Amino acid sequence: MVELSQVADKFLDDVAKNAAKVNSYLSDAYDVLTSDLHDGIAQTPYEIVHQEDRVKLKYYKSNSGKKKRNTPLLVVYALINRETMLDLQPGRSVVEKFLNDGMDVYMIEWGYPSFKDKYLTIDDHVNGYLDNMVDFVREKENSQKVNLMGICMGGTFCTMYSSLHPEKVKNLVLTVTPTNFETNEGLLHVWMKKIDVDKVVDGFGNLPGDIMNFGFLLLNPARLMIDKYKGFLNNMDNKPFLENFIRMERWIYDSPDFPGETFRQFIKDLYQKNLLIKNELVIGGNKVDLKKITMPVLNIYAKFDHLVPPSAADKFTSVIGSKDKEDLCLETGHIGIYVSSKYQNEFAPKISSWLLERDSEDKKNGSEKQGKKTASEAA
Amino acid sequence: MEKTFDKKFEQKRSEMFENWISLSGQFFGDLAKVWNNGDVGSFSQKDFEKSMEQANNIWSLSVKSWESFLSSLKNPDESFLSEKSMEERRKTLEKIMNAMSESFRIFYDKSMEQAESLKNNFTNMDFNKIDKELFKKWESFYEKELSRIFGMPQVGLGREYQEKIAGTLDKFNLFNAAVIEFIYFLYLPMEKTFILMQKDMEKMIAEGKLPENSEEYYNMWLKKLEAHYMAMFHSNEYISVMAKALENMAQFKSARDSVLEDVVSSMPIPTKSEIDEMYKELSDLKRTVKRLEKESKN
Repeated sequence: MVELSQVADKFLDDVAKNAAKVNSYLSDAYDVLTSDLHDGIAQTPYEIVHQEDRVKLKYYKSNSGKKKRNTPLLVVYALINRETMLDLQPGRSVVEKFLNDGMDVYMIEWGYPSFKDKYLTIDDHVNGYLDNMVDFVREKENSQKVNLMGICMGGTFCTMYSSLHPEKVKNLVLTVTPTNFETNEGLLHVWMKKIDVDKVVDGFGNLPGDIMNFGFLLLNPARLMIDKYKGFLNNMDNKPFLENFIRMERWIYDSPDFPGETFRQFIKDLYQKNLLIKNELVIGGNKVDLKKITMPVLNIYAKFDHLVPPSAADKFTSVIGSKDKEDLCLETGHIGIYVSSKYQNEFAPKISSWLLERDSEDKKNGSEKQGKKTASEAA
Repeated sequence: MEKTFDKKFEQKRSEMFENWISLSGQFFGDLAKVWNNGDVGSFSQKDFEKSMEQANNIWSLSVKSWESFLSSLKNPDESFLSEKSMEERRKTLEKIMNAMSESFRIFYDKSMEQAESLKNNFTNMDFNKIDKELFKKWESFYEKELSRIFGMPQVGLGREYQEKIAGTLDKFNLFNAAVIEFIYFLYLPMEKTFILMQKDMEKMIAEGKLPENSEEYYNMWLKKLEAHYMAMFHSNEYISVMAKALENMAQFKSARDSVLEDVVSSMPIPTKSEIDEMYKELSDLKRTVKRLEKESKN
């Protein structure tokens, strides 16, 4: 039988044995921490081609030499955190993968809402900014329609948009997008049902990014507030690890405030009343009828997503009007789907090939041509 | 002639002081009655108005007495630095101080009486027995006893400002209490995990199956901690505590902003409400312009 004192002795032995190693480790860590770290994010070159208020439209041009796609792709990110996550670092960038596949990418940057944005509603974002960006891309690319790709809440906006403006959307790609809020699987879904959003919005105006960040950390404090930093302390002498770690830290705490009225409506109408999937949501005086979504739909979600659990995403394709629709569940988490090297090689190529197969020509000033191309034909 | 004047003056001043002391006594006595009549919260509006009216009358008479006293000082011949008058003044001040200290004592006793109700909730101060019930009891005590003091009606020119400041202090206390309760909840899984870890280690020691290195201990601890947090985060109790902390923070911020606006309003800069109003108008105008622009394009 082992005595408790033996356990204590063992710990002390460990400490004594590691003392010399610790000194050497700290010396190496110091050298790495004070060296030139390549920890920048969003390095892929882009051009701002349009701007309305704080909202900008980024344009990434493909130099792959591959044939240009007929339908332009517009990526719509969430109002939480920033779109830089899709271009975290060279070699680990969804944007880069799309460009290498010959796709030009347009991406909405929602910017940093200030107090003057607190009265903006979902209608302003969907029928205002998003619609104007779509029109700009259609005009610039001389295309009748665009491909819409939504990220998380940006996907929820794309869903609303595709129902209200189906004539402008060629294909709809949703990634980790919440559409069914009547679930108790994700903590956010449980928590958001109980908060008095009126008191919060009346008090804060816009919901501060810091409060949202703290809320996200609380989803798993053991991993996100303890284990993560233990990993950091263990790897301070490892330059590539450190660079990746700092990049993620830069991204994760880059949280713009959330426009107050949009937050109020999103929580009340979606998290608390689940109006979207019931076809009862009203935006700008118009009902969002999911049956009006008839374009091809690819719905990708993650099995271990703690923010948008599968049950929040997998009902969508069963309630829309589309015939060509596909669900894809990847065995990763909410962020892993975009940043893990393993799933990037599955996720981005899947979207690229799926869009290519549905890339018939849709000239704005000409008649629509139907047809399908396979990925190999295009290559 | 001079002696007659001195006598007359002394008499007049003595009467005036007696009158003033009596009125002051009535004034403070009346204030004391308010507290003696029982719970402030249960003191009816009618009783309160009556007392206030009486107090105002006494105050007016006191002011008149002071006017009369001050006018007597205008005459340089009417010296009042005699030993007798100094002694009289000392006695007078003593009486005033006694009346005031009695009033404060009554106020203090009343507060202590109210605090007794909190004491009754906790038999002996045993830190091992402090649990989440403490927060509920404190909340109930605060709402029943202390919050009412901040909610007491204010009067006079500064009424609105005083009410806002008292309201902000009230919201600040509620926010602090809610945050402390929330932090306590966040600590619970830690405590539970350490206790469980201790038990598991005792078991492992008994079986002679201790982990080889500290990393294994850490992983065991982390797994348990994560499980405890997840279990707690789904509980209704935690969710309501978290929601309360967030809501109280927002309400305190609103109250604080309102007080700050009063400060800012005296300066040549726009207040938050004014800016908000402008932003609202700007948002509406932009919406209209954008709609018209779109319509004209189509």
